[in-house]
Amino acid sequence: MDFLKIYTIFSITLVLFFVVIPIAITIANYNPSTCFKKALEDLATSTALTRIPIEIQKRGELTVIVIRWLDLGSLPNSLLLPLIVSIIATALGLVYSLSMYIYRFPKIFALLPLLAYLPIPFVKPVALQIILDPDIGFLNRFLKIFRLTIRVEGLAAVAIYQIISFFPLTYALNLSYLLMLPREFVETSYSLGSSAKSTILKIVIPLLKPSILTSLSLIYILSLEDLEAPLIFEGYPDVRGLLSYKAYTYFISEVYRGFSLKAIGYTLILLLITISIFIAIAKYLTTVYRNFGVALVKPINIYRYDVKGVGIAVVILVTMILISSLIPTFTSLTYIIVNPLTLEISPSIVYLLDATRIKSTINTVIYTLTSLFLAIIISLPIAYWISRRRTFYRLVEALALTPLPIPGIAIAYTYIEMFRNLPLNPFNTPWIYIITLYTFRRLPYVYIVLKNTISSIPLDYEEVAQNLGASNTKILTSIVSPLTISTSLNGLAIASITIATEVSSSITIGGLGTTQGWGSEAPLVYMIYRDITVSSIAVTGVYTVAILIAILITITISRIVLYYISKKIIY
Amino acid sequence: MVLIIVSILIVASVVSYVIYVSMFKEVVKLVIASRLSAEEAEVIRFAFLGSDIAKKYNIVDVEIKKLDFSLWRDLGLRGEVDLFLVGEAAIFNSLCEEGVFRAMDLKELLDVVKEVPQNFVGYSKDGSVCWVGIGLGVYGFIVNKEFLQRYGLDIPRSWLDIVNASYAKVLAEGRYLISFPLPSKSGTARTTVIGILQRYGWEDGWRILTAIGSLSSFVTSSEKARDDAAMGVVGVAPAYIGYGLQAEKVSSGKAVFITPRGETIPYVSPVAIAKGSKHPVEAQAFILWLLGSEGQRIVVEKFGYLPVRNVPGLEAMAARTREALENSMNYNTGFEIEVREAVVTYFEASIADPDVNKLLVEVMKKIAVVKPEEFSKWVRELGSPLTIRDPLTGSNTMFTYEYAKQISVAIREGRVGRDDLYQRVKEAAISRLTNILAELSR
Repeated sequence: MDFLKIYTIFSITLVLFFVVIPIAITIANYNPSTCFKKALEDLATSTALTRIPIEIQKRGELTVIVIRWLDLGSLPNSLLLPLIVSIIATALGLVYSLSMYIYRFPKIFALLPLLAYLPIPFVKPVALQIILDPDIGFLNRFLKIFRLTIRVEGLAAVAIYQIISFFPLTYALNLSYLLMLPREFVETSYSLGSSAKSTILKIVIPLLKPSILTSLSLIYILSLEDLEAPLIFEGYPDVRGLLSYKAYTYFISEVYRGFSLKAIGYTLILLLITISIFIAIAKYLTTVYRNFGVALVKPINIYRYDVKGVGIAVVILVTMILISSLIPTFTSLTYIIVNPLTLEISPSIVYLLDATRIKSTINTVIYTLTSLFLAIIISLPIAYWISRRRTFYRLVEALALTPLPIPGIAIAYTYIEMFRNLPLNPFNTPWIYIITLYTFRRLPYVYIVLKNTISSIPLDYEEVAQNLGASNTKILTSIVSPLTISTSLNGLAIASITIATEVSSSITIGGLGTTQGWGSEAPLVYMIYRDITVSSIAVTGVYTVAILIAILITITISRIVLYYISKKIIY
Repeated sequence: MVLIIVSILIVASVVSYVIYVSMFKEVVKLVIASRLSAEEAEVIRFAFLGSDIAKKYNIVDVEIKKLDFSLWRDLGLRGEVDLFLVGEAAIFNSLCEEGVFRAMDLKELLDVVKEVPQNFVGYSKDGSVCWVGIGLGVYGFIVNKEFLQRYGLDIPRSWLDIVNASYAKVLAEGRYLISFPLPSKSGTARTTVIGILQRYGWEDGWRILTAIGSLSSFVTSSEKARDDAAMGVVGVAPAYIGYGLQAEKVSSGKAVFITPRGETIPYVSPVAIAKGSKHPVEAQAFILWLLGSEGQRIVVEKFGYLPVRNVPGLEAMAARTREALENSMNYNTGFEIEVREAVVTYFEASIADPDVNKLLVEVMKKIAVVKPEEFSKWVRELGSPLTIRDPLTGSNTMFTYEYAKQISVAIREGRVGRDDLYQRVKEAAISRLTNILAELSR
């Protein structure tokens, strides 16, 4: 057996051991049919409130516009919320990306949504909550001048948050895919006299089908599993009825021992839904992700119309979408300097220099870098195997993508249960488990980047090397790896952001170890989860700075190291 | 030659090790499972590490982890933690009975424990000291005066005051009056619920709790409830005195900690040593420090506790708590131990469950608007203990105190799953609320 086979089998075994087997054992231990039954029993007793989604009320001289969710009950709400969020976010992303593609917008318009895409876990929903609160929110403080108040309740607030948070992702997916398409399609259409409108409707949109479907499905999964917004807006019963929230809050309790069977049932339902969606889009996923993010920083080399006529309306629409998506990010950034509610100077810097926060920032950098490098080492042979369509490549690919649809909470609690009796367990060495979870939960992102790069490396290079007597090992280490790593730096940078801001493992296992002082083992996301509430405004700015620093350091170090490694291997 | 060098190296290593061991004591790191918030834990840790006791016992670090009680037993027996700090005395008593704690035997410490009032000390069956209180705190609630003023409401002086149609007015404005943590996630919420049942009796207690629940937004931690009240997102939140004082400070006086008349719950905050502790002597040294003048000063200053020992100068600082105790009730931890599982499950299924809670809020809105004069009658109907299908026998049974005791034992022994009881209670609650809603809509 050659080295490549052994390496690939080793990587596959790791995925099986750290992802598939723990989940399978937990499901088997807790009798899935009983868990399902208990969850379904609960869902069967869910209640719906028929109410008008938008209502105008009078409170003295004040006009109150109430925006709420049409409450249909736990399960319908849990399924409908991601559907509406994914449709609206994808539509907005599509309009935005097509506007960039058709009209000559300043480059800043193409780049700013990436700032809105920057994940700052828990901070952004809190920022939105502060904006929207009926009494203390600054939107309503301003509107009260006009004797008007907007009240956004429960799931409606979650939906708004998710739409403006996920829209940049749909934009990035669609624009990246658009830029991969041969420019001749559109330019020929123009030269044959087609208008922009008919070119979009008859040529571009049909070609965008894979990215539209991928975007719809990914946003659906992200919204279904989201815990950030539900935890921030948990005061409303319709939010507490979401499957992801129920699964998280009922899993363990202070009063009882062991896991709640009902909570495992919710997790299994989530798992079934996400796996089904995932299977449906698997064939598009890697293609759509091929140029993800990378293309956005490149110039759009296609003929584009000047902004005039209909274009002006498009500019207004696009600007409105952009501003709404940037509000939480800018609010978070504002807190670095000043509290917009009181206009007091923020004590961010003082808080930032606290030993625990410095250590947590360092922890995030270390955990992210370690996980990224481990994920690269594990993904590389798998990506190569699949790109070169070796034996069982479809099965191997399915396995590599398995962590994507598995809810993070399920796998984190499974680790706690399964490894709690080992000498090095999640309580005394949580960092081992955080790194393991980060590595395997984000493995698919790293795998997709590497696989797409390897697929674009001409096979001729390897054939020439083979003819010259190079072994498979030599080809992988001296040709494929350096070329892949050196050309995947942007994609890997995006993957590292998703690792640094991972929520589920961070808030479960992240808090099991030391969380104080220089000895803290907690990642930054856990500290944010612990400290962020509406009144902890002082730390909102702190964590915005800290997460940006962590991301920046991680990307810089990983790029330097990977670049150095790729050059070292070549020469 | 190589052999000689290797031999010299081995001998040198052994000699160095012996010298090191004889000259330097082993450095110790204590691990503590706690319910303290991060900021409170940091204060304790920082002060202790700078103390003479820490230096004397070579304790170089203290790790205070906020962990769910459900994890304490295993961690204590396995020696993953050395101490347990702060929580409910009832839970400490249960863990003591289960043999999770190690008896205190450091002479210096036992001498100090003798000075502590004996109702602040937990003994095991063989008479050894299982846990000792580090301070006496009180549970009450935080009110946000600005929020209450905005909606024209008076400051409630007790939980019972809140059971009034005027407080339900805020529901019509799309606001909740109270931010209430889930009792399965918060000791503050759990003690408040059980305290109300003790103060007003089983049936009236549940009626009051149901009315409170109908005005509440439920959250997953007492920190979040504290912050909601401090900020003015809600008007009321249950809290222990330490969080109450913090809320007063951060809100610049907009929030005030109230010790409810006849409902203020005094509680002893205990500390105990884990059975499997790898550093039992040092763990006891830590307790010694907590009971000493510096430790007591911190629990008084930072947590608002009354000291358990007479330390000069501290009594005046704890005046607020002393005053609070005038409003206190006689809280029975035995009652809590008997019915804890059943009460928490019943509360969460019949009041806090999202499906039930949305109906409950609708019902309360209607009562406040349509029949405010019949408020008491409806609260009585809403909150009387439910008749549920017993998950043990399948027959219908009322959720009485006696039944709660039996079913709590069954849950502890694994004869009934918590999810089963939850479901039966939820079904009964939804059925009752649907009927009441229909009746009110007629």
